[in-house]
Parts: sequence; C-alpha cells; structure tokens
Amino acid sequence: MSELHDLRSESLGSVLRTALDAVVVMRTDGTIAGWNDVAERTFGWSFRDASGRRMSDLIIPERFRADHEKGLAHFLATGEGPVLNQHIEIHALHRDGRELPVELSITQTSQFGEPVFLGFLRDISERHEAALRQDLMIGELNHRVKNLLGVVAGIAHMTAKSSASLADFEPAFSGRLMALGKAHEILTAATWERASLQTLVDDLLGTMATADPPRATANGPNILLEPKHVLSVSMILHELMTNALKYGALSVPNGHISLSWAVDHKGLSIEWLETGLVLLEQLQRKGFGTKMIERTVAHELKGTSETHWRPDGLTFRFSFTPTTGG
Amino acid sequence: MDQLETAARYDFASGHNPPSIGNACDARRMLGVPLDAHLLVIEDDAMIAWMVESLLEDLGFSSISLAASGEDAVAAALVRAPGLIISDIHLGSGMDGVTAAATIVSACSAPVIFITGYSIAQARPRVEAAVQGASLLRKPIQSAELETAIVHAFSARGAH
Repeated sequence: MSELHDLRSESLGSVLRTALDAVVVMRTDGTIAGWNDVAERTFGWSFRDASGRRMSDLIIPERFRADHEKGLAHFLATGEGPVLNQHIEIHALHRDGRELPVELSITQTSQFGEPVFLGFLRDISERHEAALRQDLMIGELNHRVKNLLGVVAGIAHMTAKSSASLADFEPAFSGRLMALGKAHEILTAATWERASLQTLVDDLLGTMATADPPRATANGPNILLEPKHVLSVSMILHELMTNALKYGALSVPNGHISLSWAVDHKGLSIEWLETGLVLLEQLQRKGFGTKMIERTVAHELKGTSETHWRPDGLTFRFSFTPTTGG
Repeated sequence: MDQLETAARYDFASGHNPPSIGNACDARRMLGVPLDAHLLVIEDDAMIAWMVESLLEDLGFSSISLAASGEDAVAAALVRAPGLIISDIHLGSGMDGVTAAATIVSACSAPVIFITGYSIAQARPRVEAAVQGASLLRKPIQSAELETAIVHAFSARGAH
C-alpha cells in the first residue's frame, strides 16, 4: 500500500532517534511508518507491533478517532490542518487501555522520500497530576477558608450574645480569634499533619511558664494530635486560660496553674489544676467560656469533662480518644 | 456537669437569653412555620452548631437536637423523627451530611436545608440528586437567610 519502507528507530535519523519525546511518523494514509524507542516505552507497542497499523487504532482513544480521521481527510483534500505546527494537549491511549495526557506537535515533512506527518508526543502525566493536585488543594483551601469563616461567625455571634457591651465584646472576641490564629499557625508549621500537644501548651502558657517563679507548669508525655483535635483543644485551653486570668489562679498574686496530661487505655486525659485561690464562690462560673468548653469537649472531641471545686481552687479534667497512627 | 449547671449564674453569659420583643415579632412573622417542630442540626463544628441552635431559638423554635456526625444524626432521627433537618455537607471523616439527610428522609420525610462551605455550584447537583427540594445556604450563614429557607421549606411542604 505504501511505497515508503518502514522507518525503524535506527533508521529514523540520529536526531529523531535520540529525541526525548516519542516520535511517530505517519503516512498520509494514516498508517504508522516510524516509531522511536520513547514511543515504544510511552505507548507499550514495539515498532514491530506498530508498523503498518493505523495510528488512530493504536494510540488515539476511541472517542477521538472519528475526528482524527475526518481531520486527516480534510487536510489531504484542502491543505487545511488546524492542529499542525503547534503544541496541543490531548489524551493518548496506551497498549494496556489506560489513557495518558500528552503534549503533541505535528509537522509535515517530505524528508523521508514521500510526504509524511511527524508527531512528537510528550507524556505529561506528572505535570497533569500536579495541576490536578493543585486544583484539589485550591478547592480544599477554599472550603477550609469558608468553614473557618463559619467558625468565626459562630464565635462572633455567641460572644456578642454573652457580652453586656461592646467594651466586653471586643477583648473576648479578639482573644478567641487570636487563639484560633495560633492554632492555625501551629498546624501550618506541622503542614496540617499531626501537631504536638506540648507545642500547643508552650504557646498557650508563654511567659506564665517561664516566669521566676513560674505561674504555670506543664507536664505530660509527647503526643501528637490530629488537626481538628488541635483546634478543639487549643480553644478549650484558651477559655480555661481566660477564665484563670479573669477570675482564677492568674487573677491573684499566689495562684498557680498546673497543666498535665496522660495517655492510658481509655485515651488522653488533660488536667487543668488551679491552686492558690481563696474565694471559692468567685470560681463557680457558668459563663460562656465554660459552656464553650463543655460543648467543644462533647461535640468535637466526643469526650467527657468534669470540674471539681476545692477551697483553694479547682480541677478541670477532660478526656477523649485521640486517633492513633499517622 | 450537674454541679456546673447549678453553679451560681452570676454572669450574663448564659447564651440562652429569653426572646426579646424583636424576636417575638420574628416568630410571629414566620407564618405557616410550626414552631413546635423538632429540628435536627447536623454540624461537626461546635461553634457553628451552637450559633445555628441559637439562631433557631431566636426564631422561636424550642425543640432542637445537635449531631456532630452523619452517624449520630441517623441515630438521633431514629430516636425522634425530625420535622426539619439543617445540615452541613462536609462532616470530617465518615458519613457526610448529604448521605445522612438522604438516609433520614428516606425513612421519615422532612424538609432539608444544607449549609455548606463548598461552592453552591459544586454542591447543588449532588444535593438535588440526593434530596429533592432541599435548599442550599452558603457558610457563614445569616439569620435572615436561614429564616427565609425555613419558611420556604415548610411552605413547599405544605403545598405538596
């Protein structure tokens, strides 16, 4: 059918043979005349398999074949070839049936003795996957931002409800936002994988722990928490801290906070111990912060919490099951 | 817990303020809405769930259950069938809000309002395929939007 003899990889000429792209030479009748080593690797057909077969049957997904044949006939009849001499991204077919995204450029040449089409194809699966991953991440980021706005709206709404005046609202709201911001910072530093409870606690206690003598001490084993638990625990600890500053151990000269945690078969228990207080009734609070803590423990951590009042202070303990592994 | 509940409520921060006059007007305006309906709110974030609960209370509803996961929501619906479901779509790992609402509605028909952080265009096809007539609100929600959606949910239901 063709006067052109087969163009094995060796006879394609050194330039085409050593090309880093798959090179496919197609006769004007649509059959394959040449096929380099990269083409063999990219599409899974040896030159022997491919030689003389219709190119469209071999490497063009079925849904594009009719268009390809029509385009070829149109070019041969009119000389118009809109896909020639440019780079296009398209899907090609591998021998095993999977499709791969390729960047394709087609030129026409007569250098092999008769007019043929010379196709250069580059497998761009990796670039494609990176782009898909990026789209996914942007979508996830968008979702996360909107969810975070929902949380901020919730905090604003509930803080406003519990504030007697704007003067009360402002510090309470901005304090909660800052706690949320810090938790996000810790999670970002941990690339939104697990983050250490110790880091969270160090950040929360800050100068309270480094003062001499310290106003707060922390003690517990190294444990990593999943992102949503990091957010929940940080909001809980923030409320405990705020209460301690306003009414508790950090509102009196000799008060002290001892924060400790332990892991056993039931899960993680975090204990917040305030000492050095004298006025018990001042401590018996059922404010917004306390409600927020109870709700966060029950709703987000699916855990339990309890408070014990003592003449000189209080112990607040909450327990939940952190996910393991990761 | 009990001790906390009975502890002196010396502060203003109960979060359960009695309905103000404005709220009473809102409630009166919600014609055709049965305020005694039992509402099921499905939302994994405690603050958002609390805000939705609070907005619903302000509108005059008093029977509200909160579920943090799809599984919890289905279990809660078995205990008490909801008259209206308000659900987030993404609920962390596990059953999502669309599946949970569709599961509940298949057993006891109730109108559904979804609140989502996804783009509306992205969420709508799935929501409409899973739960007929469900409405879709964008996070963060506003009280007025929620109210409109609730009125619509009950009136669409009445028209059937």
